Amino acid sequence: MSAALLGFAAVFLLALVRVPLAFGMGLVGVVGLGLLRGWGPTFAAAAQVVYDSGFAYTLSVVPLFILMGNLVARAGLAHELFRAAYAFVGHKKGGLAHATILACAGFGAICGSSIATAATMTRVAYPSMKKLGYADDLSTGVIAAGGTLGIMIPPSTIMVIYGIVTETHIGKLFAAGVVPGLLCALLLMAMVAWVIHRRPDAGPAGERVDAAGRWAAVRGIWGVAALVVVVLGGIYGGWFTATEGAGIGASGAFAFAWARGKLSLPLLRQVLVESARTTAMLFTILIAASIFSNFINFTSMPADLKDGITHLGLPPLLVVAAMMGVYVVLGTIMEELTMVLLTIPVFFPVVTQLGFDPVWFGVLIVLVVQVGLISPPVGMNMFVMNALLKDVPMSSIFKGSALFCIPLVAGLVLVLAFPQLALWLPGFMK
Amino acid sequence: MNTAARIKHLMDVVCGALAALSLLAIMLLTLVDVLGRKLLDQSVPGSLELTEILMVVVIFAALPLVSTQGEHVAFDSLDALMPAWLRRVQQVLVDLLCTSALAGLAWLMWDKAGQMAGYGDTTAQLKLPLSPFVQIMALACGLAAVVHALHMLWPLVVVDEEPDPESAGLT
Repeated sequence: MSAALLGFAAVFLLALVRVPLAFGMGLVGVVGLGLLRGWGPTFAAAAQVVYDSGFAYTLSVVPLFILMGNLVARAGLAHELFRAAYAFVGHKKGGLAHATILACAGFGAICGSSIATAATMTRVAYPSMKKLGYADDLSTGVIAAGGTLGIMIPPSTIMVIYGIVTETHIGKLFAAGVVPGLLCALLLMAMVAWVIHRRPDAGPAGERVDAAGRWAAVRGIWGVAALVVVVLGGIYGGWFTATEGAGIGASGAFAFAWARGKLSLPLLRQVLVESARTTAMLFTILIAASIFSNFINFTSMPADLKDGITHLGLPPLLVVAAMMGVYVVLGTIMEELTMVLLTIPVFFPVVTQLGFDPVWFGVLIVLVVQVGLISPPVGMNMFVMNALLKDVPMSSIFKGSALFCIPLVAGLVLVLAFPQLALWLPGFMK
Repeated sequence: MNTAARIKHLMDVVCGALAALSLLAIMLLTLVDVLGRKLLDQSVPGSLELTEILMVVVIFAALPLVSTQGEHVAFDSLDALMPAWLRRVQQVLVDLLCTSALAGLAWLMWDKAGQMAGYGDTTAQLKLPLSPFVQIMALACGLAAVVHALHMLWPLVVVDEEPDPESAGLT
């Protein structure tokens, strides 16, 4: 137990002095295991982890979904989604904000990244809201929070990572994200309605679109619909594995971007290299996390924790709720992926020991990451928007984002209290 | 361009091209394999192991690029609070640590490649020898180690380029 605690302390300390997370975890894992088990077997095991992570067919799901996200972000599909959503709700007070959330939800169904969704929607939706005179905190808050739907509504990079690290079925995780994702969208829209109720000037109404315009706008999103049906439908229906679905999805996104003339050769090269870099960055962390958890699993910590929790006799749900509380607090200042990867080796065995479904816990993890991404002062969605919107003060982005944390926390509480929200849909999968 | 810049450029081009082409190949291979299997009842022979080998190239060719770009995930919230000299000292120490770790890993993987060559390990279906690809892993780790070593001498100037948020990646 004490060896593991020292290990965690060392990883945190190294992270604090800016050692990249992967290197910190990997080094502590190797040194820790080396001291406990001897250096020869430790080195051999570390080399084996690197080898196994490289030569792993199922892990090709990672670069393929990343590539798909990067391609759809450039294919211009977001414009059509926003236009279609606007056609139906744009004429209401706060209608553009509602339309933004709907478009984010649609975009989330073809893109697995919260940051990419927020960045794309900043370009697509912010200018319209600005032109109509929306308050900056409302427009930026809606985009930042709507962007997080990208990781809840499948596909989702975070779910893929969680699935790999905990060996949970990725297809089931995807299915489990659908209902909570839609729930989050509804809660965000309720928040918009509340803001408009309090400050009617914050979100003026747009022009009404007639029936013909609506029909045209709906037809415009056939591309998105086709991708969703084939990729997610295929995975859910058991026609594809997640890996195969990712390959089909990336190819489809590639075809759309190419057919619309959005993909020159230099841009294609850039998209591919960026996707490969992101993949490499992620794999260094995955490999290091795996080496580190080999060390932790060799200590008595996981068993001690399980015993301790059982002996305390706390209500199981309270234990998970406490974990979520820790995550929400940590998420305000920590980078979310780091937070999750550092804590999973400790939390996950406890959760499964208490008899909870790993799929449900995965959805909860995504929810706390969502909250973390928009809870000031540290959250990537806010930083990305700040980089894109030079003339909007960071304080407005913080204010809006903080406000929209509330509905997401409400979503977290609901999924915590009613696991069926997450587990109903995957229940039909074989 | 001075020599250092030219070498860096060469590395960017070569590693970038290897990673990009391999990723594109994985995408097309998966597409063709799935379509073939579902529609024509015929899969690409050895598609699984080809994907695995291409994955190795994608990950490890891109690894030195992650290092040249300073993209490894790190906790940088304290940077603003530190005086420049301390930040520089810290950066040298961190790069020293990364260099040693990567060099050690390169040596481990090279060793493993040697063992595998000794056993004559090949892939199951196409009988491709595995050790050259493990050597690629070792070389890539070595190259990344060199990048971090050079950063000790010439600190990475993070050109505060507009981060391209559309490919911001993980979360």
